[in-house]
Amino acid sequence: MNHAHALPAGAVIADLADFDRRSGSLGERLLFNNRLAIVVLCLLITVVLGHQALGLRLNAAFEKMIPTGHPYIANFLEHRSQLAGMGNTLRIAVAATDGDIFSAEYLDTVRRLSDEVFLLPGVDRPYMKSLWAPAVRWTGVTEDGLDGGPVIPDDYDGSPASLEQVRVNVERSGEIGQLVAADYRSSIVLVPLQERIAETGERIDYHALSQRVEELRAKYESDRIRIHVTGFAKVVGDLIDGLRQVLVFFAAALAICTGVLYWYTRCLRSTLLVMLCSMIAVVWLLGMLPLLGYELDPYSVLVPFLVFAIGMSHGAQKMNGIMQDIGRGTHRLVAARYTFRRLFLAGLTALLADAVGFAVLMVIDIQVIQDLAVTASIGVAVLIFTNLVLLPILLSYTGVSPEAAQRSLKAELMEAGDTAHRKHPLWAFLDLFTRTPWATVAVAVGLALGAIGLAVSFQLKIGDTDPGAPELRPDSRYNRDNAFMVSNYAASSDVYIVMVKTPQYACAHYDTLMAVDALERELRQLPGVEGTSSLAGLAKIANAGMNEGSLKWYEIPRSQDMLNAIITRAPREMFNQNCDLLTVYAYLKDHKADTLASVVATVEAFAAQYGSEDVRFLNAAGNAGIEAATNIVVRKANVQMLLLVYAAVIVLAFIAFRSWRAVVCAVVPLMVTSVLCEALMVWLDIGVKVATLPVIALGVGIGVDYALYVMTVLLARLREGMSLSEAYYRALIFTGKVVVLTGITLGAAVATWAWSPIKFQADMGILLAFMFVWNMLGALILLPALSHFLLRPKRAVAV
Amino acid sequence: MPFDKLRANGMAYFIAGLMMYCLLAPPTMAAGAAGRLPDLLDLPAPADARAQTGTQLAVARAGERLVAVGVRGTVLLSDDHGRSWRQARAVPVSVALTDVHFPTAQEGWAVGHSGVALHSTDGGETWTRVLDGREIARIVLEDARARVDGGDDSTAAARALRDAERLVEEGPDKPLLAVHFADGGRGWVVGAYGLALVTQDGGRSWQSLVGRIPNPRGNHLYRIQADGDALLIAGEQGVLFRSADGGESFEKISTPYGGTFFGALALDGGGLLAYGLRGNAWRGEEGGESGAAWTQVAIDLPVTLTGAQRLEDGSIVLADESGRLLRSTDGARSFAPLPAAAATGLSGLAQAADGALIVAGARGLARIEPAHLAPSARSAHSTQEETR
Repeated sequence: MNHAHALPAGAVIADLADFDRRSGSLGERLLFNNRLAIVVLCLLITVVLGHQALGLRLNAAFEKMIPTGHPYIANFLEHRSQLAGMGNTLRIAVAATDGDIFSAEYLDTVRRLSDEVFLLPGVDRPYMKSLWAPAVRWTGVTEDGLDGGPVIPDDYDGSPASLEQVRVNVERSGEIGQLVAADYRSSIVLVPLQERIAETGERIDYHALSQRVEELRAKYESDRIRIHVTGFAKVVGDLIDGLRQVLVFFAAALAICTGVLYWYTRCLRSTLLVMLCSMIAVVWLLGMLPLLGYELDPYSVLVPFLVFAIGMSHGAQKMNGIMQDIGRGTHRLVAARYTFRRLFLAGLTALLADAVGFAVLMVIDIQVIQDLAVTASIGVAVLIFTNLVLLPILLSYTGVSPEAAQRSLKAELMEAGDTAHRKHPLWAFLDLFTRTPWATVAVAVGLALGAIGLAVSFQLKIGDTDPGAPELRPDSRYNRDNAFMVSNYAASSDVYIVMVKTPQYACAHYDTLMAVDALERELRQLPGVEGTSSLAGLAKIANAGMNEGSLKWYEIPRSQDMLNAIITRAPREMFNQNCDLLTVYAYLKDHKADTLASVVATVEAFAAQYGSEDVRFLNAAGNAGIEAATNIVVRKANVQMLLLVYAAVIVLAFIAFRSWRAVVCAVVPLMVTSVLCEALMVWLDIGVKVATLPVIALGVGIGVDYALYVMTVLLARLREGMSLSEAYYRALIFTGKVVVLTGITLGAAVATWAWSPIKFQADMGILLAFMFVWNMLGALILLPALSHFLLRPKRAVAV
Repeated sequence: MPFDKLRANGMAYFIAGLMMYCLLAPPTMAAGAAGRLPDLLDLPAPADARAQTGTQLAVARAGERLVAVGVRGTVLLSDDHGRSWRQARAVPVSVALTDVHFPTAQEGWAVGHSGVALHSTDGGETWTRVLDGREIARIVLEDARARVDGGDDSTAAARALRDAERLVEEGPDKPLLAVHFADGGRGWVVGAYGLALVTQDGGRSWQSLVGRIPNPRGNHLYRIQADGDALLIAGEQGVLFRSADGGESFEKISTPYGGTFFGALALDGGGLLAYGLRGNAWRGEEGGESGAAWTQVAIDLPVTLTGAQRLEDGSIVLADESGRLLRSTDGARSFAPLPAAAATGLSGLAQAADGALIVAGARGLARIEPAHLAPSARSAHSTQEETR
């Protein structure tokens, strides 16, 4: 028996003088014989990092949310500078509530608004469009040929006559459904954004931009004008606004944890110390992020919270151990050292399991998830110092309140004193699962649930299922604005872009356009595609236009001269300056995974059949294209991540237990929970996406803590020769009750996220709460039941 | 269980015992031989799930049946008077088809871009190609050369030969825009840049009419149709041609309008209705030596008129490109808008056997019920007489 793990009591040493300071491992001696230095060091670190934490920024960059390593996204990023005004465009609809847009007041509002928007930082000004933009023109057929001009004529003066002229120009501008709603009651200011501000080279601050837009909204909205804004920048701005509310959840979680812990211990000082150490961990984490060049985004903002919760769980274990020892009469320093001896390895293994579980997320090629992985791993690593080291040291100074210690002792005496008859009913109930028939029932039910969950989880969807911005709630202002856009404008909010690469100046070759037209035709066969557009379609329209508007000419002209004439007039959204890149737009009905997958498959098949050196069809840009690539990455990552996180957990569990049977007992309950979590996602219609991808990894990483704490004690007792029932019972009253405590506390605390205005945080909260609670149940019910079959000692022999 | 779903589900995949760490690479492109797309003249029209809402350029009656033609070689058939449509079984080309005409219920012809003419002998179910732009260029060149070789040393003949040579050089880039057949044998096709051909044997052989139509500037010819026993062609720059001898020779009818006529319709009591750009509709009376006396018909909006159809009750419907329909019950002297409007981008009209009006255009096909063809009472316009 390894002395460092010798349990249960060690000797009860009431007087420090009787304690051998040289006992324990090197680490223990190093830490506990220099307690003051450690405390001072931690204080210094806290002050420095606390100062650093003030410089932490909240942001969410477009590129960080997409899988930049995927070939589709690489194609997109390679060509994005030549793809005019896509991917990241703000659409501001100015709606007249009273009458139509052909009023001097309305047009003046649009002019003043677009002038102000023009000056916002990050706007890609040459591509900005509104009724007032010179690039927005009308064309008409006359006996003498084509005629055209800006939609708002140069001599516009707001008079009824010039308003009538505007109306006529709008009607023949081809912008109905694009810039102007079909009912003439609203028009759009289209604002393409650059990822970096041209003047300064700085990354665009979406929150500031969103606030500026909100100011403009407040300024121009009246009882006659309504303003609707959509676009990625607005989503991010609203998300960051929503993050403010995360602080409320943080406070709520803090209050719940403190309350429950105090109710459990009835010891104010140790409760506060546990909270303090967990808070210190959060402060260190927040301070280290800016030092390492990280920002908090809407995803990683939940990490400090998780770190706090995990810290609380470990801290409570330490405090519980110390309290029990002090209750037995041990000196507080000795109690702290005993607890450190007993639980440091289990705690370290558990935290390493967490850290590795998070680090596994690094394989996912999406930077927000990688950032989340790094952030969470750092946070958990920090906990090793604050909650496994600093907390016992602090407790060795403060001790616990005598009443609480006595209370703990009394409870223990009552529980452990007469194992046969006077068990606490809950522990007695849980103990049943170490024996038949309860063990058999538990394993059977567990496996049945797993099988049902598995069957249901085959329906698990990839990607988003709600219309609009799925990050936000369906009834949020943003999604109402989005619904306005979708119902009033032809352009769908889900645009998939295929890039077609040709040799220079060959973008308008007849053969190229024929191939593009054939691709468009294939895409239009898909039920999820509402429409397409490209230079090929434009060439047909232009050919008709150049022949007096006769629809009989609606075909791509074979004459290259004619095609060359057409592209001189074509809008820049269709092709690039060098004429070596065409863009094919597919407007989709929705962004469900199946829809996106059908488009991807069609384009890939077409590219394989008809692509050549001279005409290369490249996936994918546009929000739907990016989402398609994200889905592909997420789908693949989901498998990889689970394999890796379980591999990591299994290895760590084996290191801790040195028994394959124990590993099976600890890991199978986690797997059942993971399967049930996926089934729950199916039931709640939550898809696997960037936001939910980390949940199972986090859930497994944290869930394994419970198993580690219970199994470590259980194994130690079994190795001492106790029966399974007895060993499990000991594990329950030593670490098991804290597992119950933390499982419920953490579950309740993350469940508060369900009220977040940010949809994916709500989803994460529900799923994590489920994982925490079920993992706890798994560790307390399925784990002993499996142990009954796998770990039953052949004979209870004293060592 | 579909493999896709298996892949979608990480946990299921994991538990299923596939513990192998496998990299699921993104879908790779099949290494099959990259093929070039065939030319549209050689590419059979593919089945198109959305053909019905795709652009349709013309519609015609084939007995009780309706046959519509449109972009990408689409031919649609309806046996329930335009309520439902299905795609023809076999069309050998994928070019846009611009016009269709069935002199009988079984025999019909369609024309389109790249100088294509198609022939069906089964009411539009299957089609064969009987002419294309390369063939047209050869025929026109032969004809022009024959004229010069035959001793015609006029500058017009020399220019016609040069034009014909250029036609061959430029390849099949000119569309045929209209077709008319008198019966199963005799038919005419006209198109861009003054193209015009005639067949006497149902399309097996064609002869050029280019030299026989006084169209020296090669204006586009948009429409050809019967005017009693005569033939009437309408085209660019206000040109109208008439042939009284079955297409052997054409005479030019002088008109007062210089913009494009997209069509001309023979009126019941003699006379013509020519219609075209920017709301121009002109009524021509049979006149003396100078051809006809023209009157502009008042159309309230300057929107291009793209089609006209004489209904069975003798009234005339005009369609404009915005989708508006106008009807005249007084021999094209005045037109009043119908309450029913079709979608914008209207191109062709036909009356179904049950009296409904079928319209073809940019948004596909639509059926306008006979009850909706009565003019709304309030908006009858008086004729604005303006004789030139």
